[in-house]
Amino acid sequence: MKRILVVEDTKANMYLIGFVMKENGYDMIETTTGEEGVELAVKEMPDMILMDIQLPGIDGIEATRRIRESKADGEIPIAALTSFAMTGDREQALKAGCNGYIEKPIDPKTIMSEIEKFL
Amino acid sequence: MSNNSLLIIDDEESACETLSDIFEDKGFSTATAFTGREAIDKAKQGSFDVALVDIRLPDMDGTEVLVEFTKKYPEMACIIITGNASLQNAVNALDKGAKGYFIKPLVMVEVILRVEELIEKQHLQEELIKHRDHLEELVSERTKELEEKTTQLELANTKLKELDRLKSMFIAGMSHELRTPLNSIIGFTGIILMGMTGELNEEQRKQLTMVQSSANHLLSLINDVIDVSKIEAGKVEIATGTFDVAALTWSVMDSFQVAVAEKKLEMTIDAPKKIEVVSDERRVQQVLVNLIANAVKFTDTGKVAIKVRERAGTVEVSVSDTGIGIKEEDIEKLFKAFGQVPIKGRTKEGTGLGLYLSEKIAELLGDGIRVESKFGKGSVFTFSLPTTGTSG
Repeated sequence: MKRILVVEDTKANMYLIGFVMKENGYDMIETTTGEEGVELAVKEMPDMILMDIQLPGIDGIEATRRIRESKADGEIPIAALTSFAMTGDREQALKAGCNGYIEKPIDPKTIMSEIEKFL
Repeated sequence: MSNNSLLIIDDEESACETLSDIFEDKGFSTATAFTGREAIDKAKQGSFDVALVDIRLPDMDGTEVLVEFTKKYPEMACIIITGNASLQNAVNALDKGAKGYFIKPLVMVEVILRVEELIEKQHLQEELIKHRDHLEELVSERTKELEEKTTQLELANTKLKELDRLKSMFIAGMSHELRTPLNSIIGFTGIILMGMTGELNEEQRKQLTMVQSSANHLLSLINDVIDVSKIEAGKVEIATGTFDVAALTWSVMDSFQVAVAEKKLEMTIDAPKKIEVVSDERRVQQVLVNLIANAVKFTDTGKVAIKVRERAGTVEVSVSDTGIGIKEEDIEKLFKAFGQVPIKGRTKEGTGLGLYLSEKIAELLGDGIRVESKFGKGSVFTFSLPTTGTSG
């Protein structure tokens, strides 16, 4: 079973992603902070990371940078969760080491196929 | 004429007295001096409007007194009196600043007239000076007031600019916060509509679809508001890159196939296989989506035609329709925020920000949006983008 780390501080979003993943047979590791996201990425070595950008504490950009700098990083695919209007986020996310981005609002119809592109 | 003062300088006491009496009768206050020294002392003690100076004085020449007075008291008018009539003396005295010249024996009427004339002149001059001073005072007062106003205005302007920036920042921040819960509404509605949580009956499906479409409408409104506030705060990032605008137009057009089919419209595209431009692809897409959506929305029969053309270093993209068209007087309203033109028999749709935003974006990317329209016949919206010069 593929394991996906989701770093997202909005409960409802987390539940939504988790629900769709469970339905599709994925395992989810979850955290609401960037700091813990970095720790879990190193410790759990998930198959993929979904990284929200706007987070309390260090943001998704900084968390991605730290994951990319860590020794344990085996080039885990990271997809940034970005909002359409926050144009600058995407460029910054890619520069920090994200492999791509998935735009919010999360569409339950397409989210899995978008995630699968990174696996 | 009261309080006019006269200094009479003559070594002959009787002459002094006669003059003094005559002028006192006329309401003057007078003082007399018999020598040049005494005259200079008296002038020092009090101010006089006019001095009558005899040329011949026991201690000095009257002209010396004249020179002294004109130098020290320029407002005091001096009249020379002489017993010895010569043109040279007269010219000499007038040269040195005398305002009059009389030969003894004096014709009193003439002297009085001249003195009164001089005093009149002085009064006028004083008045003039007073007015001038007053004017200067007024001007400097006004200047000061204006300067104060300018400072106040500058301050108010700075405050306004700051407030405007705060407003835009607030709106952008607020809208971002609004979006998070809205995203959940859209997401969960989607999950339920997909049947992932169990079967739905027809009514439930219908109502949830309405929830979803309202939520999507609200989301696009919020996204537009964020864009508007960013544009107004001058904070729109334009991510320039090279892309194929023909391909983009094709793909945007494709996303409208369902809506076009539902309204039984025809949609055509006339574009080369490939035209590369240097611009912001997402922003161009935003404008294209808006223009095509408007064309579809406001056309009930006929077609929507999209054209992509290269023209003199730019690529022109136009969207034309056979829709309801716009009255000439309404065209200007089109590009205003919330400037929707009311249309009979139509419910209000959209955010009212679409064209306003598209125009602002098109301005940032090129030279804005041009519109041609015939009421009842249809409209053409055109914008252009700079090319790289390579097309195929």
